[in-house]
Amino acid sequence: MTKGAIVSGLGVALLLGGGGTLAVWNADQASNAGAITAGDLNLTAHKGVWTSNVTGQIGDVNDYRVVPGETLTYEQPVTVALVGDGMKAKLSVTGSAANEFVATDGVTVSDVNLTNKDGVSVSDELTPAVDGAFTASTTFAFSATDSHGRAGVTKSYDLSEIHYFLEQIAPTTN
Amino acid sequence: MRFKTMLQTTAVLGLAVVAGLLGVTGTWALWSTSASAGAGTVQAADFQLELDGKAASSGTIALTPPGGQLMPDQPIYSSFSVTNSTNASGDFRVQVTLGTPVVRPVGGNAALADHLVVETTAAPASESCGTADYGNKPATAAVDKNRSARFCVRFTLPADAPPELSDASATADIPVTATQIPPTSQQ
Repeated sequence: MTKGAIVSGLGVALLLGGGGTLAVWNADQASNAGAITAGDLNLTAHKGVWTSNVTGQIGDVNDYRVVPGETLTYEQPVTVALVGDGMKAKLSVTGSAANEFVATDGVTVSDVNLTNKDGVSVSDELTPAVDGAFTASTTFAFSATDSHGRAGVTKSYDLSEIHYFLEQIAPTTN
Repeated sequence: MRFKTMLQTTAVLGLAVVAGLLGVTGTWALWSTSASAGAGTVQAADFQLELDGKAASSGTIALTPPGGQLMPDQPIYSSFSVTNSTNASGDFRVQVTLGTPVVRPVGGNAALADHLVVETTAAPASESCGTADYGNKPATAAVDKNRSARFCVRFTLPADAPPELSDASATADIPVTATQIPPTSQQ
């Protein structure tokens, strides 16, 4: 009875060992699915330049003191990079200026405007086909005729919180 | 009882679907970026008039009275400087103009104020008020940024001034106005 059990156990072991020698077919084939690469959305604001209609280019506007009769113009190149077949984005100006001048001071400041290379304001959505170089500009005009007395002396117009904002527009799904 | 269980199951599944949809909406990962304009701060210049070195943007500044005794037909002179004081970065010239002097009596004797003649003019290059021409009215001068101009004042009693003017006093107010000359545009 014991011998019979031992022989039976060996038989099972042999069968298990034979499992490793089964000649199973297999094959390998590349999927050719390629690599998926993310696009890009980037915005670079280059150094801007202030120019006075009286003194010409201004080194540092923070150290400049403007007087009635002057118009200061700010121009800044802005570069937009959009990559992606379905990429669409909107470029806008955010933030607001801190203004100490009042209406009777004779100061007029235009909104910061973004234009393309043709001078057309940027309002439509941007795509990789129409990205590239833009120009941001604004003017600060201190009237020589509307000011009076010492109106506006030492007052300031702080543009440091003005930002450009490039935001992706949600792609439309099929 | 079985129908109630089905209803509970359906409700749970419905809530799960709604929550799932909300979750998808909240996970739209759109790209955005921003950049500072770095446009800085534009500041207006300061501007003050100084009379004989005293700030006089408004109000009255007492100037040094003329020296000497005022005698009939023997004028005495005084002068004062007007400074265009500013921290403007660009061109800032002003045209300083003196208004008509207003003579007022000091004390109870008003006779001097009735006879005293006060005239002004821009000082000549020599700054000698005794030789200046008081015929050009109003007295005016263009003053560059942070520069000064000097004005002369002549006090005269006519030759036929009555003797009761002796020891009488008077004061003269001279309005001073500075108007900015518009800067020249390069464009």
